[in-house]
Amino acid sequence: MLFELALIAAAALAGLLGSMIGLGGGVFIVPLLTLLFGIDIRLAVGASIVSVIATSCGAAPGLLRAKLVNIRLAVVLETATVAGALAGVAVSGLVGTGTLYILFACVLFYSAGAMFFGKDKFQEQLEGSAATGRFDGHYHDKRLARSVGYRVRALSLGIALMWLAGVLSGLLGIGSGVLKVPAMDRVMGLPIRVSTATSNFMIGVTAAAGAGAYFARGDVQGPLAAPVALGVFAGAWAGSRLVPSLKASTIRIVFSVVIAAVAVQMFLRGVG
Amino acid sequence: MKDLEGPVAIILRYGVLACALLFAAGIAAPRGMQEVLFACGTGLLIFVPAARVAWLAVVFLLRRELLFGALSLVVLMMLVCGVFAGHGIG
Repeated sequence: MLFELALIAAAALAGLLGSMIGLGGGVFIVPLLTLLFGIDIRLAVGASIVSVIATSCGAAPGLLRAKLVNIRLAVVLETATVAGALAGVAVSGLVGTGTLYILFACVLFYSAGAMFFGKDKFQEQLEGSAATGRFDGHYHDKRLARSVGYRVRALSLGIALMWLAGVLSGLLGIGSGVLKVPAMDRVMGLPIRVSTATSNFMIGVTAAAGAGAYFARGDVQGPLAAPVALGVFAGAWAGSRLVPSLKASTIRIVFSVVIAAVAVQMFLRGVG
Repeated sequence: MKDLEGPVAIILRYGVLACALLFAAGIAAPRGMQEVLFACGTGLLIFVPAARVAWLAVVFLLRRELLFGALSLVVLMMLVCGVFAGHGIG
């Protein structure tokens, strides 16, 4: 029982951080389970991918209510992420444990750097109804106290990046928000709040594709996955309530520092 | 039907709540029962995103937004294929 409670507490923290910065929490869960609890990375990946669904489903209702999710864009991008996730699961059995750790660390280093060194550029912000494209949208910014419109650009490149994000999701048991958020923010020109919210909305489906396959082949261990999913769900619920009131620059700094620290740990485990 | 976000939020909220209850019951349950509850909870958790994709597919098709309806159906089919593919992998 004590082990389950420790898992729940650790997973709650991961879920809180994950939903605050638009990730599934898997990027924290796998390092937590392997580095802190000493669990095999393949079992950790199985538990993580289930917990990622819980994070997404726990956080999404609050983000949907705040009208921060671009549902139509999410539907389009999900076709790429799900296809990628299935490809990732297919090759996961061919990759060694050390390679998985190093690959994980590389993904983390990349995303931390992209967020930390990226400027807080002011998006193409249009007043409400001025955004008229099929995928364009608007949301109410509490801090600016007005409706902010945005245009979606580079959709094809965005789809390609989402496929890659899906592959990593299936391979590493993460939601791949680490790639999705920068892809939507930097490449597709979405505001950071919309990027994090839409990423959160999408990762549940991406992870479900991978989790279904992992579950069917028996890689999801109930006694491990259940407490982790429970903790992550609670943490994600709390985190989603903090997102609308957070400053964009705060999200970036938290994202960069935490991810970089985890990346170092994972890389050392991979080469050691 | 006008509001896309509301029903989707309900599906996700209550779906994941049901999973959380199953997991919590599983942690407190004796060994044999625990396995069953964990398996049910995990299965349901994988089903919840699929349910919201299916819901969106229906809504988009009813609204005659055929592109988004068709893409939702494609995603749904890939999710189902993933489960069957899992049996053949590893």
